[in-house]
Amino acid sequence: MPRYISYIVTSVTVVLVWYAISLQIGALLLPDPVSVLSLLLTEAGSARYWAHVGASSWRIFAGMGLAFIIAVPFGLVVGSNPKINKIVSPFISMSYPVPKIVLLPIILLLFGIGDVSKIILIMLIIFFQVFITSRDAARNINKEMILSFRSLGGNKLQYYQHIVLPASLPGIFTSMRLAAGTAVAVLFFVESISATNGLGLYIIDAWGRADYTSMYVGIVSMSLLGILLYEFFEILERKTCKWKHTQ
Amino acid sequence: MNSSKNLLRVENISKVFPNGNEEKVVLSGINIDLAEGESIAITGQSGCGKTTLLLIMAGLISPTSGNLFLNGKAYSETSNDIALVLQDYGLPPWKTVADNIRLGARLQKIPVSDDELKNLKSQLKIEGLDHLYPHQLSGGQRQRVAIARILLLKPKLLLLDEPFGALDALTRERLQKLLLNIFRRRGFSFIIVTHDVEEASLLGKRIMVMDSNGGGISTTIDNPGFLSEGYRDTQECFERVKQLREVLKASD
Ligand SMILES: Nc1ncnc2c1ncn2[C@@H]1O[C@H](COP(=O)(O)OP(=O)(O)OP(=O)(O)O)[C@@H](O)[C@H]1O
Ligand SMILES: [Mg+2]
Repeated sequence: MPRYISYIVTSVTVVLVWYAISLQIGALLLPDPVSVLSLLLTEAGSARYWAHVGASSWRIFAGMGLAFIIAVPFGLVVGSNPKINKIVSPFISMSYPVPKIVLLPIILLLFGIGDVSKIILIMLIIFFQVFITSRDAARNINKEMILSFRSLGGNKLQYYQHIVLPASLPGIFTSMRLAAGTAVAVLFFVESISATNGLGLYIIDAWGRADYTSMYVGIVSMSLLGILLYEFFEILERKTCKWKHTQ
Repeated sequence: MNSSKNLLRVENISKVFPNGNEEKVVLSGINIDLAEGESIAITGQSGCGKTTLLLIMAGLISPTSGNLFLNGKAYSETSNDIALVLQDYGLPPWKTVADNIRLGARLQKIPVSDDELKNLKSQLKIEGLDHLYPHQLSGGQRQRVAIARILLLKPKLLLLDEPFGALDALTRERLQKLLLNIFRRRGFSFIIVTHDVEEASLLGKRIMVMDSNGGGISTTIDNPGFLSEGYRDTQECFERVKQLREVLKASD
């Protein structure tokens, strides 16, 4: 089945279930999908709505992008070098379980309530997942393949290019995909606490005004943001890891 | 053509691995001289150190003591003159057959012409597989891709670690013949590790048997007729296999 068809089927199912539930529990708590989606279409014509979407997208994009750019090379180098791993990994094991979200007040104090603090928090949370995946992928590369590659004349840099990176990419993209969900959740949290714009604020603001249709427009928008990110990494994985998708 | 010029000299090599608080002597007092255009089959029981010895000769791990010489020059690193095929072939699964075959040539910046590539592929019967990935190949095809990959490099010395171990009898026989054919034509030298006494008799001009404990070479058997036509079915070959089996039993 082509992917777009499965997407259409899934979307239609979600909307139908949504409709059924809203009929059951009443439009006040869960407005029906038609009114939410039509308001969404109206909003799509307003610059104010796109300013919120833009602000949220930028924070997620920058936070995840930074995490990716730092965590992947760092993880691959640490995983490929047992000596470095021995020094670095205890620090990671110690700081990974700390719930980074509790650092929000400190980050806000340090970086203010602008974009920087939000980006840093997202980056901090995503970083560990991606780092650990990259490190472990690099660490678990088949010994014989490493030996073969060296005997073919491959140097250290070529080793990263031809062996470590491609071996780790599938895992890295899986972790980025999972991280997309986490990142949207974190974004909602920070934007609902301290922000002057963004979809999190949009939702909380509508909630405060008891404008539930608008609130759901915000929820749907945030979900779409997450889905788009998820798909983005899925497509990237398909493009760069073709060997994983052959029978 | 077949000068008896020395290609590889392994001089008094030993290898000790740490084993908890103790030390484990895997190799000791290994001496090998290999002439250009010659072949050696090394056999011995599982765990006697065959792979370790091969990795040392490939310059991939360093011996605890002893020296290695290639064409009279001491070496301790990998060299473009030495190619190695390991038991599981070491083909990166993310590279297509075409990319895998060219990998070594690419790393060593050896130009490869399309003709050369085509010839090699037809020799090895791996045409039409270019766009497949290793996991889409049979074991025998993977093996031949691994061999194609190093033949593009024109090594002087080929080190093979149980290259045909995972194959069925017929495929195995075919690949043994193929190896010998290319060997005759190209004039490289090779050392093959195998635990199959028949394979050792078919491929080694000399056959070395390693001790299962102590890590030395206990016996060397000359096998000068191995290249003759139909050797596989001769009385000589049959005798060699029998002799080898007895030596192996005695070394247990
Ligand atoms: N890196 C290592 N560290 C410690 N011990 C090792 C290491 N590599 C090999 N050994 C030990 O050295 C011995 C010889 O191993 P090797 O792989 O060379 O045997 P082999 O003759 O190739 O066996 P097989 O026929 O099963 O392939 C084994 O006892 C093994 O446990
Ligand atoms: Mg072995």
